[in-house]
Amino acid sequence: MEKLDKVILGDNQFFGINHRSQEKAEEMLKRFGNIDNIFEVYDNAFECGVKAVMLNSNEKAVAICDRFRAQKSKYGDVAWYPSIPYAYKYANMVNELGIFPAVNEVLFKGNTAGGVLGMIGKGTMAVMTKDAMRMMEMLIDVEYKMFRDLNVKVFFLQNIITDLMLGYGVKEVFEHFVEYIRKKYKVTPGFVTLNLPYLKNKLEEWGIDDVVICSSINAAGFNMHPSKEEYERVIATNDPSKYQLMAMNVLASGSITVQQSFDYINSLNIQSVVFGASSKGHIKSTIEAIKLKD
Amino acid sequence: MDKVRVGIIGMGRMGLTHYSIINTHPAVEMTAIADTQSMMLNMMKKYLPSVKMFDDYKDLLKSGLVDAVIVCTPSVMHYDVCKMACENGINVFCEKPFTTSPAQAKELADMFEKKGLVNQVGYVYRFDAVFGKVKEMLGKQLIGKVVHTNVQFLSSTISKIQPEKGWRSKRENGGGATYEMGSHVIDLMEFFFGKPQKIVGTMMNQVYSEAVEDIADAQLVYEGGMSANIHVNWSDYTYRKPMLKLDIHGSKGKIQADLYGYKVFLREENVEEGLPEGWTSVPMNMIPDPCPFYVRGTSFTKQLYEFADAILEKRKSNGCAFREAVDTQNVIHYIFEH
Repeated sequence: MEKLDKVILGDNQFFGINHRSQEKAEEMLKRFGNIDNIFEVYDNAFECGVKAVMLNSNEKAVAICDRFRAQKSKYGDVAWYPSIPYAYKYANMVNELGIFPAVNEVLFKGNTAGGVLGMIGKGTMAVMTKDAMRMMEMLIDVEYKMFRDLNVKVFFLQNIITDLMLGYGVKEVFEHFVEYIRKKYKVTPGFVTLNLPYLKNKLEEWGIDDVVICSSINAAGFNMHPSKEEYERVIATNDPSKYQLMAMNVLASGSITVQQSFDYINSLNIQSVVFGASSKGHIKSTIEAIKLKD
Repeated sequence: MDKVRVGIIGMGRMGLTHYSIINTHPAVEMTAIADTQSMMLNMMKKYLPSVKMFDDYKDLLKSGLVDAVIVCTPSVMHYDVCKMACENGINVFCEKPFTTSPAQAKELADMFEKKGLVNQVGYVYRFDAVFGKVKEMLGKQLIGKVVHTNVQFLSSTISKIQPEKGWRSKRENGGGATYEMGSHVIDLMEFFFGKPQKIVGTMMNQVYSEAVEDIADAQLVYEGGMSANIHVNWSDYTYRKPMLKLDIHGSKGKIQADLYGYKVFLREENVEEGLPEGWTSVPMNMIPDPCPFYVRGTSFTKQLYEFADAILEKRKSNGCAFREAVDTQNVIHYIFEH
């Protein structure tokens, strides 16, 4: 498996996600409502030596990807770690419409990625539900479109969906996702999860490896389920040639200092870190603090 | 009992979530699903071969395949489903709001208690880490005698004129700000302070909906003289995400809490708890909240595991019992009727 970039700039800061303060989240949302401010952060990060970005397929991502594509000479070397889907969109639609009308809406109607009808030809929901794997492929294709022609290294399934599906314990879903991503897009599949020990155990049981697992890992133990101790045990015994591990939420939403965070992260058997920051100073100090083993 | 066989009735958004969660419980075996959509059943059947699919919940309840069910149907059906489950000796976790009438709620509470079956309603905020901490602080009487509580639940759920066919425009399906959000805060108050002694005032108002209310208010009085204001508004477009917040004012201090953390103000230092005089602020990411399996937060998991554990350990659930949900139902209907 191709080695991961050790340092990846994430996207939470751009989308008003802050686990600590709603006010701060709103403030960020306002600032990054202007895409120029998003690119100012990217440019600062690249100047500081970042070479890779992680981006969730939400509404803003389309415009961000467009600008990256339009300036190929400037951004052509950036490595991409996208994640799909934008779960909130689906959650709201499922809540309002029910699951099948929501899928129908995404695949056939208000689809911003465009051109899906031509891609799949005619199909009705009743036919599609008989082949849920085909339905999954179509949903992936819709979401992947916005990342076309970018230098994608790992393609992630976002945690709300990974963990929801994980609970069902259906091997075929994970197997099919992994195979489809490898075959159609020729990139490494990845899973974002807040249940790393449970997921890794299942993947081993199902014989699925050569994938990346991204999970919340921090000195505070925030969002590490079932426990920080269990994470440490699984990470310590992990074989990175089978599962490369990427840490997210390393600062536990600001409940610990940068120094505390990375003293912890650097001591673990972790291959990559995705972090969120919006000022040049923070980006710089975070990069300097990341000193992963090997 | 060393294994609980569980079925789910109603595979909407909550049913789908609950399946994922409870299926990870080591002593739970998923045995049955009931739903009226054949598309859903066909899809599930293919990937969950050991789970029996029913297009009628009555057949599921009579099948002998389940020790417990999770009921996620529209609220108007809860009474019939729960009643039949009880008659068949089946433990029930029922989604909120519990029923659509106080009399039905009481009848169900009586039935389940008489049969000694585990019963729980999905008032999930009882399992939230922040509100759990608030309950703990109140139990220790950290802020002295509580005098007044102000609780608000605000969201932008309904931010435009509603189509009449949507489930949210029908009260019998759990629509309206009182059922959707008011029920949660009324239950939180029940969790913290027990049953209210009287309701002294209520109001409802509309912003975008026609058949149901978008805003609801209630003023309540509790034993010992504590007064409370409850305010819910699901048409507050300034909230991108739902916000539940409360202020609890006591003789020795004050607690402020929301979904992001809590703040406590003490008039005097509390050495035992290590809390200084004045404000102490604790964001939610500083509150330890380990959970066996995370899906859409930790609260849904803690809630359902408690249900399963109560059955396995042959005890009452520590979640919201049907009996407590009767009180909440009474307050809700008082708001509707006055």
